Amino acid sequence: MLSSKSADSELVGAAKGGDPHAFNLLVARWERKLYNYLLRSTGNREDAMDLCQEAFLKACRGLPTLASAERFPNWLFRIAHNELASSHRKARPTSSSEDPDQLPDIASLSRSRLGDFGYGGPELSFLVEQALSTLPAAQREVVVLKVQYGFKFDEIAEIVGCPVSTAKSRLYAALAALREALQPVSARA
Amino acid sequence: MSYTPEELIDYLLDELPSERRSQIEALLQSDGAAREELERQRRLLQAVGGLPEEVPPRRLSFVPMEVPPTSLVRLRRPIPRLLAMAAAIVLAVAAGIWAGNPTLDRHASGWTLAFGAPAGSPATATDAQLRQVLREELALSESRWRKALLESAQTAARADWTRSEFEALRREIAETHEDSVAAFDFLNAKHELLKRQLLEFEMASFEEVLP
Repeated sequence: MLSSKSADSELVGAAKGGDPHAFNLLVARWERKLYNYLLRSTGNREDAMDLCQEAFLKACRGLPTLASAERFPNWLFRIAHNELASSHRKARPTSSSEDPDQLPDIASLSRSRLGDFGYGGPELSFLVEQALSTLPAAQREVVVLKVQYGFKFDEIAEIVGCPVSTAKSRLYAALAALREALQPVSARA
Repeated sequence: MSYTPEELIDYLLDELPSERRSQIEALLQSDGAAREELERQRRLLQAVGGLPEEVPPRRLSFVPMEVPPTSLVRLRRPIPRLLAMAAAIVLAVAAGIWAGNPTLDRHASGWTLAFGAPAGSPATATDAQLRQVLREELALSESRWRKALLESAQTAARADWTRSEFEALRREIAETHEDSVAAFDFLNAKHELLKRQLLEFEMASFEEVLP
């Protein structure tokens, strides 16, 4: 009997066999994570929801092509990443001036403003969220996948379609920038 | 032994090879600066990893393409109409065959049934051949009838199922909306209270430092 406690591989197997309930259980399990990944990447709730829906729809159609059921999360996030890239291309058909591997511009995050805030709890979350939003999209994406969702570096490389070394360097650069941006808060703490 | 800040991050994220991990652990035992750096990185990772997740504004659910089994019992209504149509088609074909001077042509690819007087000289169909053709026509018609019946049944079932899902979703949205409004009112009131308390506290602090 399938339930929300069934393993991904079990649900994927049943969904591949045409069980819609199994696929909906997978959706219920991953929807929130995927939505938040897309939300942090787009900064727009409606866009994130639309991309999330599109990613699940593609996953539903492409499920028979998934060779290894254990790799479902990586595969799903890879689809979402592609959807995201595709939506960026549609939004900016010419070219993007953003270099994903550049050091982030955190000047917009005023230190004096940060210093006015308290620390801990919702305030800290707010500040970290703000600092995160100043990172280049590619770095932010790696931070979310690694630090929030615990994907391994090789899985992240597979999801975002880059070498492992690039995934690592994006994470290190992003963390250095976050640390710099949050230093006043950290000092107060 | 030296280390890089990136190695401390990898250590915290469990991405170091076991040998290097042991070396870093040994280093952390003896190097206070390394321990402090590790702690700073840990706090940062905890702050980022602990960011709250938002609940998606819509709940996704995928409608099965197959007919939901529980709905099949409700699919009997279209049968009489379809049955009548199928019977009419069969009767029309039969009447046409009998009234139209039917002839049969045999080709390499099979049989051709023709009506009226052909220009050539095809053989006139025998009763046995006509019965065979009729049986085939009937079988074909029956198969099409079954297919149409099933498609109609599936569509009706899907419509019922979608309607009930829609209703359930509408109820859920209405309830969620009420909860959200109540939560907002509560948080807003709390926020206003905290703002007032903070203002009072700041005013008190200000008065304390005044000469």
